[in-house]
Amino acid sequence: MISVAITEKHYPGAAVLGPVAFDLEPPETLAVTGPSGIGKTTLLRIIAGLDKDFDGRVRRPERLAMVFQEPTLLPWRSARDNICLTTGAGPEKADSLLAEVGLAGMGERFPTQLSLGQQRRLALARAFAAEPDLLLMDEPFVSLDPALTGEMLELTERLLAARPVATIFVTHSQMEAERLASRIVRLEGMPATIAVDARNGAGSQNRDQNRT
Amino acid sequence: MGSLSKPEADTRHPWVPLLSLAGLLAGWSLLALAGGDPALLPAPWQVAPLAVRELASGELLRHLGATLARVVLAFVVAMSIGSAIGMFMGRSRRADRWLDPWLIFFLNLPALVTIVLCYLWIGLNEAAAILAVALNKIPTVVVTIREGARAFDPALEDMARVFRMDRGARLRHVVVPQLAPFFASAGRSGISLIWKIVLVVEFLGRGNGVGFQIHLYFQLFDVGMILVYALSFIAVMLAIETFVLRPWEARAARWRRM
Repeated sequence: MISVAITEKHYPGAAVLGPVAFDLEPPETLAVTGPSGIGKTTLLRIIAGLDKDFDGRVRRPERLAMVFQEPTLLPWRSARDNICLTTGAGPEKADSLLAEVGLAGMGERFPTQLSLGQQRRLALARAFAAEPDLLLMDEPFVSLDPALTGEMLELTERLLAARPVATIFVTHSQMEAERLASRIVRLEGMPATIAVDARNGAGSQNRDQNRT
Repeated sequence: MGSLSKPEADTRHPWVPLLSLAGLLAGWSLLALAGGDPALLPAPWQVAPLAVRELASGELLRHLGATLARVVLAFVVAMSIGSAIGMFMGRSRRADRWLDPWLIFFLNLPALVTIVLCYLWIGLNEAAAILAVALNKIPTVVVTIREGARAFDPALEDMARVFRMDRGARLRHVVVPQLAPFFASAGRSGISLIWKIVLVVEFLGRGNGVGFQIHLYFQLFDVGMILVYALSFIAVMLAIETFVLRPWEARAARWRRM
């Protein structure tokens, strides 16, 4: 189980987050929405353990994976090595994940030889190769054109449906949240607190239906 | 990355460096002919037989080998210690503040002073010689690697942390590739500086090596032999540059060109 109980987070001179608390069980998909600059990414970095300078407590599982705003790949390693070296997955598993995200046969390519859309798919494949108990996604579809966003959404939906993983993803797009999440948390205010915490029809519910 | 475009240019015009070197040889010949005194400046065709004789006797290779061994040893010592300090200073602002004055001190310490002091304090031995050379090179390695460590991509570091990459994997696949151009540049400038200082070290206090031979022939006023030793060692260093450093650099930068 994932348990977030932040009392406060401030940068020099300004409080960014007020009390923010929620619990999460796999295979829930929690979307964190809110206007840009509200502190969504800050919250995600705290949950990921990348930012330890806050008041409060976060309980997270051992195995994490994250999809960053930028693909954040190792440009000097091939697509397959980007998966294997980072997550410890074997080459067969890497290749099957590459195929799953539509990059079959591109394992030897360097990230610079891939388009931005393909780099994001690779970042997604890497995250799932880690077999995380908690998957974090920070605006994974930002700065893609609408057609590509649609494709990526569909792909992410498919990947999530096949795995019982708890997911927290940050987005400013209500559409993306409603499409993927089983629960939507909306941050508002300064410092930001949870304004809305609502169930949503997508995500784990669909997955449960798929399974039965 | 200015240095990275160099090998590309070379493969496109491989004859340019050769032609340029031929021009240098021609200039030397002309000067020798105009001077007319082989004792002061012998012509290439007068130096060549000396080199062949020295090579046949085994002397040339023996001294080249001794110098090369010192160059390699001092290079390895300077690069490893310099890289470690450079990374430390690049990563920790506090370490940088405290160590920077030392760095400036050692950067401005004349090579001759380090060499003489090492010989006086440690003795006229191999350890003192290598240490003196390394001490001269370490500060410039530190400066270059520190620059590289400052330019680290924080996003990649976050990524490595979230995915729990272990220390070894982080070093090999995240840190070193980011530093590779800086290693290459430190290595390239390092090897040319080091062999020049090694010659001084040998000149002042060793019983073999190119520097020792140059000292010997300086006392005998034998310009021909001085040229033999100097030019053969330049040839060795050019060969290392062409067959070791450049190919390695090209390999490390493979991902950039695709």
